[in-house]
Amino acid sequence: MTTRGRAAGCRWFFLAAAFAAVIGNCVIAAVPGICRDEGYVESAGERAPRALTAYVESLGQGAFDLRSACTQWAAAFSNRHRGIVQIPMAASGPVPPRLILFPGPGVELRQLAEWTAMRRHVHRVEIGSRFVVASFTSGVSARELHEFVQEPQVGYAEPDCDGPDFATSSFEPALDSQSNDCWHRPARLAFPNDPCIDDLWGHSRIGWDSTIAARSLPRLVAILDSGVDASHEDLSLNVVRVLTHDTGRSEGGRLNARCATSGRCYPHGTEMAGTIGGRMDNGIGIAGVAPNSDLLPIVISRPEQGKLARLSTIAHAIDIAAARGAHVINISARWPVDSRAVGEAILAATSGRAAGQRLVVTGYATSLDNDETVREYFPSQYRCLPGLLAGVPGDMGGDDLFNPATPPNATDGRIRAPGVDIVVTTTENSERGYALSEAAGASSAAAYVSGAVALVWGSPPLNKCDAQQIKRLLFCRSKSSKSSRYPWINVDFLGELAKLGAGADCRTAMDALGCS
Amino acid sequence: MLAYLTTHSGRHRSAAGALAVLLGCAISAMAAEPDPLVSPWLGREMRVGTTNMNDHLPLNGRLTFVYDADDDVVRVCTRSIPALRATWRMDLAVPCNVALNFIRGSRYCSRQEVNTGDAEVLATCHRLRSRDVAMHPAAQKDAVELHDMIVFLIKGAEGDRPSAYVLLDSPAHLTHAGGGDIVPQ
Repeated sequence: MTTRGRAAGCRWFFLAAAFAAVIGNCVIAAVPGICRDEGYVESAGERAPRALTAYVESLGQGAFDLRSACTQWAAAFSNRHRGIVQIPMAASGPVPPRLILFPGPGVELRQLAEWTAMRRHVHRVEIGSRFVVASFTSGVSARELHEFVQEPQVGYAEPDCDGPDFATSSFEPALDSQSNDCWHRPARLAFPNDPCIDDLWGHSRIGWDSTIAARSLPRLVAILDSGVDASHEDLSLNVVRVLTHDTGRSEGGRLNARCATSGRCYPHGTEMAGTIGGRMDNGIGIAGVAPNSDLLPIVISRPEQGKLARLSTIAHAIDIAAARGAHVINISARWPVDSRAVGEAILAATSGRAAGQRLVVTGYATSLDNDETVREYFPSQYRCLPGLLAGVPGDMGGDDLFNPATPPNATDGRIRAPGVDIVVTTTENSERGYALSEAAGASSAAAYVSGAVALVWGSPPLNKCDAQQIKRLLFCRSKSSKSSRYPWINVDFLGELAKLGAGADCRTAMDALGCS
Repeated sequence: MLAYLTTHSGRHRSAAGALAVLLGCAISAMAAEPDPLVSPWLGREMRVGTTNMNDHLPLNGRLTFVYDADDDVVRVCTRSIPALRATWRMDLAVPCNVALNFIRGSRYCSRQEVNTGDAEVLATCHRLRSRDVAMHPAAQKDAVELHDMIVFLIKGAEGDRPSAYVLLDSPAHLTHAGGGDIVPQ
């Protein structure tokens, strides 16, 4: 059908959609497995996402193609994805299965790995913290795959997806040198002397104060992204340069070796790093929200276009960040599937003994589906977990902020933060290593929230608080706006801490801030 | 049409005239008209002012939104500027081929609001939308990229000429997404 015919034929659909848009725009989202009592297995006998099971059953004698399986899985997310379940085969032929396997009841992870390695058509096995990744040869049939997943050793299996539509949640900055060139200016004469400081509208919006930021203790912020340019003048002193982990043959190991600190890969991670922890008062560029942060880059993005690495690599990166003791794990990325591997990695990093140790921050990444409903991506949907915060991108317009009559509930997990026209550190398209990120969106909102968490948590005596107290405090002291349903993140209350004695503890500080 | 319906007898003529008036009213009632909310964007040539997807939305490429009453859609009539290397491709290379449907939101949104990408906000914006627009060959052989093309109508300050922001959003696993500004000439 021609575009002309398609559009005309859809007229009534659009009228209905417009009506739906007028009467309201609720967010459509199934409850993620990690948030359900029954977990990822919704009913007895299920061993995989229903989309995967349906795909394998539909194959008959056809060849399994990992990209098609992932597309089918993503089709559970939105109408837009549902419309493209048939995709052309890659020129190199079908991509053979690569499955994330969770052990069945009573089966140890090591046993599952050994059993899997012995199976016909399995040519590679990788062991994670909670799962095994099995790569199959192209010769495996759909029937064999189905039987494999039904074996008692396998408790649950999901495709180890990566690639397109598993993307960092913003696009590369469209540069417009006329709109802002603060990075060409000389250093300011006043403190802080960073020439772009007055152009950081988001800092003003959240009540940021440079003198308070200057005395904030370092917090370790893991930036799960495309790597951070450790040679960037505004970042070099803050980046944890040496990664001693994950140097093996895994995808994560290869990506980290190439991209973690080299600055040769996609610039997104460097942009987020500057917003979170760009150095302050060094006479160049910008200052991050928490300028004394230690920044730990862990790569979850392939070098070329910011397309995400495998789900297993993301899950492993979360494990690494937690093992390294990160206070904040920033994930400015999105994907359309409810991965048990990732969900359980976030849960492990933020619950049990780890509950007080860290927060995972991501962007509230959404899309407008073709029926005009709003869809929320992952990992934002894991907001059910107390350890996760989602930054909702906001702009500099709208009404003034004010203190709410009743502090918002932190359990929703969504908090608004600056998400557009941010001056960012970058590795490309700029002779000085900066750019104005016009369409930063949820990525920048996440970075702002991560920076705010690090700043607040690093401000004595709040450094004695645990992660959940910090989260509660951020919501308790957030601001309201008549033009936004979500509270705006705010840090101007940190000035009130000066009234407390040097020996004050977290509870005293929370009391003083009215957030007990 | 009235002249065609006139007949020989005066009585018949007046009856036919009445019928014609009724028909005319009915036909004019059926003839679609553009929503007044989109009218300021129609019929004036605009150019792509900024883009982060030059292959899809060529910088300096010219386009005019034209209302097509037959299908009650807004068509994108493009014009390439070879001297500026602004060349439209595939569906958009055919003038007035791509059709957009008007989605009435509750207000015009600002460029900043569109750039934040918060779909809850975008759902409130007046916009034009088309699905499955072929704009670029895909990396895979014999495949094309299909995009959802959403044009957000940007009203700007009082006295400013209307502009728009195009969001190319792709559900396909073959492609990527981005956008660009459409500004007055």
